[in-house]
Amino acid sequence: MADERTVDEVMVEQLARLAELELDAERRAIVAETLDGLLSEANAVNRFMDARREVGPGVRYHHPDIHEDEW
Amino acid sequence: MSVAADLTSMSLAEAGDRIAAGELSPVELVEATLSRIEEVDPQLNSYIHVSGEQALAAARAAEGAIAAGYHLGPLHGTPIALKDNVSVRGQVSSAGSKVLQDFVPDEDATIAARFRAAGAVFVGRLNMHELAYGVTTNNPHYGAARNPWDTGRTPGGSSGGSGAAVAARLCAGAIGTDTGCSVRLPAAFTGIAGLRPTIGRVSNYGITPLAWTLDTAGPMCRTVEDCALMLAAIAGFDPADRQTATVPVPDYRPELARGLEGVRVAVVEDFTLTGLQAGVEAAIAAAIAELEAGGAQIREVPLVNLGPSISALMTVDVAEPAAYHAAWLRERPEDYGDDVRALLEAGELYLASHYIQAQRYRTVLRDQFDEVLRDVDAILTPSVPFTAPEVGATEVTLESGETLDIISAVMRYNAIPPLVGLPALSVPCGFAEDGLPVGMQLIGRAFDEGTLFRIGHGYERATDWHQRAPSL
Repeated sequence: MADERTVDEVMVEQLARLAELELDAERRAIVAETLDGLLSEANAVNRFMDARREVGPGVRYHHPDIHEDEW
Repeated sequence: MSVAADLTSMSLAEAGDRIAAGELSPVELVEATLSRIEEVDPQLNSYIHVSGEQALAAARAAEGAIAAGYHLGPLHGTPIALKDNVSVRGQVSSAGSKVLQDFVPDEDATIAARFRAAGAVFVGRLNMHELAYGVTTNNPHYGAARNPWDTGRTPGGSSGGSGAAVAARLCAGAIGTDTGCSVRLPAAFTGIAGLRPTIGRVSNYGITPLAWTLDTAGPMCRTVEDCALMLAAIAGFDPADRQTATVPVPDYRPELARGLEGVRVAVVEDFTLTGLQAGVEAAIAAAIAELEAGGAQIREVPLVNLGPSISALMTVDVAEPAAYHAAWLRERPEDYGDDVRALLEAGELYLASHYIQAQRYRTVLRDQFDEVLRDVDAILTPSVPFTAPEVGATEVTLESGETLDIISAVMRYNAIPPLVGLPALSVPCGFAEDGLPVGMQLIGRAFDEGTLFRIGHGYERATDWHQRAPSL
């Protein structure tokens, strides 16, 4: 069962994986600048698709033209 | 013009026809190509590696086989070049990177094997943006590739070496790979034709991945007809790549001959002709008029929901490469160039929900394109809103005055075909006020590359843009 402590542990694990990148202050600044634009773009897609949460499509993991007989 | 330059100025189709007729020696053609590479490529840096001895041996073998009556088809004995991310048995296949600088595959990529089976001769490996992850081919490990129309300008990327080499007559045809734009962008910037096939049309086996759900390889040639010949040689189901489709590959040459009469081409309201550099707008408008004069029916269609396309493309094209490179990024981060490393590190910080929403958006967009393409044969846009920027540029100021990072700027029209998985052909359609080439993009139905070839070839028969050559 996911209690608060376990969630914290998961977050720590996730951060530990990111820490493996060993980003120093210079790298963090570069990544922050890169992320600034990219994540705002990703969030824009989220907002667009969120409006289609109830009626919108799911994800096609293969294009519909490929192996139609198998899907 | 020297005899060597005369030989290299032939299209791939013409060279193949003359070889088949016994009028042209593959050895002489390959020698002429190698000679031109030696003379011209120091200005362009389009090749990472030139396989002179191997190419000549293959040309001699082709000549002998043809003389003995074993002609393998239109590519037999013709000199082509592969982007550096396509595996060739026994050759360093580095994908323009330091990370893979020692990678020597023990087998060919499927497309390389199919080219060999068709008798094509590999003259070398082409420069590219590191790991295909960028739009300029400003490669930190092998140097920047340069645009033959103005060596101070970028040929685009990531297949910039392919575009530069084909435009400068340093091979008869080349292979590029296209994740977000990387065949069509350099094709447009260098004034050649380039096809991004339907996802699933061409095997990715043996090609260094960038983003699995977007990647595909395609031909880059001086004419649309040449692109058709190259695609026919490599397309089709591959048991080694489960993403390839079982859809049959047609003979494209009869399709080419059908002409423009009656073909239905859509331009998109408030999109196809908006926000363009003046010379690009004039060239695209003239191309539309030329298609109509040739018998094409031009229709204006609305397309909504295009707004998030660049953002969605970037989301998928950041998340998937981060997954592929996660281990190397931890073990040897200093081996990546600055721009690629920053994107890969940023990709580690995306949420799964970002990625999934972008993938869901692709389905919304695809459904819309399928609906429009029930009533038209192709959708026409510019390939890029502007001509090639200077080498080293990281930002572009658009006609509106807005300044964008160069990746977002080139994606306005390029992002759509990869997202929807549909084929798209860039065809040279003129020159802008700065003397640089302009390309138009035709987006077609799934696995209907033939109709795009028909329209592009019909347009080329009515114009001579594809015959113009840079003065090098």
